[in-house]
Amino acid sequence: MKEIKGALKLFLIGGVIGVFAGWFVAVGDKNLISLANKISELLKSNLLLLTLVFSVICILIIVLTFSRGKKEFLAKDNSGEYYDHDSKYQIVCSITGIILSYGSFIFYGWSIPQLINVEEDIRGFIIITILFLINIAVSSTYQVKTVKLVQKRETRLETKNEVMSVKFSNEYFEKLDEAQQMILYEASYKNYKFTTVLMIVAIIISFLLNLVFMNQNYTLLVLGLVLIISQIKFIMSTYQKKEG
Amino acid sequence: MLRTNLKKYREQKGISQTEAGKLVKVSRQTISSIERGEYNPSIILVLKLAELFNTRVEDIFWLEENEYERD
Repeated sequence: MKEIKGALKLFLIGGVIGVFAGWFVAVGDKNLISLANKISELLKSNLLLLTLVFSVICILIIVLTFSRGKKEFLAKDNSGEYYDHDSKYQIVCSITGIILSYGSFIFYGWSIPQLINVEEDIRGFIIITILFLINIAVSSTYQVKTVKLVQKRETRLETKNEVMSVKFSNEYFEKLDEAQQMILYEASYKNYKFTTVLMIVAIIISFLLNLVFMNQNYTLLVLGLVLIISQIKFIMSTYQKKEG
Repeated sequence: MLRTNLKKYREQKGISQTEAGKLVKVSRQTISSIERGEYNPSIILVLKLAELFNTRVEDIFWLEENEYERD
């Protein structure tokens, strides 16, 4: 019965979207297209400012939350033992790191086609490239710092391979104990289910955006957002599991 | 639901969660989760813990009354 209800719900959602898409293709709406173009132009003309604001906000959050989280993460109780819980600042820092790194790829990937064909925008192209490199450097540095912090608290998790090495994640996973591995397995399964639904939604949104904006570039944005949301969901799942 | 006496046995032996974790090669958090009943350990870990405290598995872990009958 539950499955039938689920299928019916999907059928109805598909029907509504189909009707909307059909109406849009058949009738069209000049006002909507004009509005979409205006938004698109606004984004294009403020690309540098948007990238700068995005980068500064993310970097500030990462630097501040990491330094506050570090103290909490390494704090000990009266018996000299580390507290069980992870610091909430650590979670915020990890999530912002993901937003900064993947967000930078999205901004950069999206900006290049808009800037590269315009000779006057070579300055913009250079600034965007520098910002992109700074963002990736900051997010990578703090990713390494976060792992080293965990390894400082749990010496069992020390690895031969460096954090940025390709072999690192496999070695690190093998060092985790059975309960920690179970948390990751469960979070992975939850994330698989979540991402499957998210991908369906993303395909529908991409389809509608392409229809409205008549521009394939938005698919890149949607794809990037799917990646960011799915990574955040994964981190939240491991965190919630630890919280019990 | 799995019930446990792990904390009692650990305190009787006079070792901390970190030390118990080191002896059976798991993290302190895992020992803490088992003691709080949040994590059901594997058979291998259960056997290691029983060996560590020099007792039988069923003295440290047991199913809540009639749990197996309800399943």
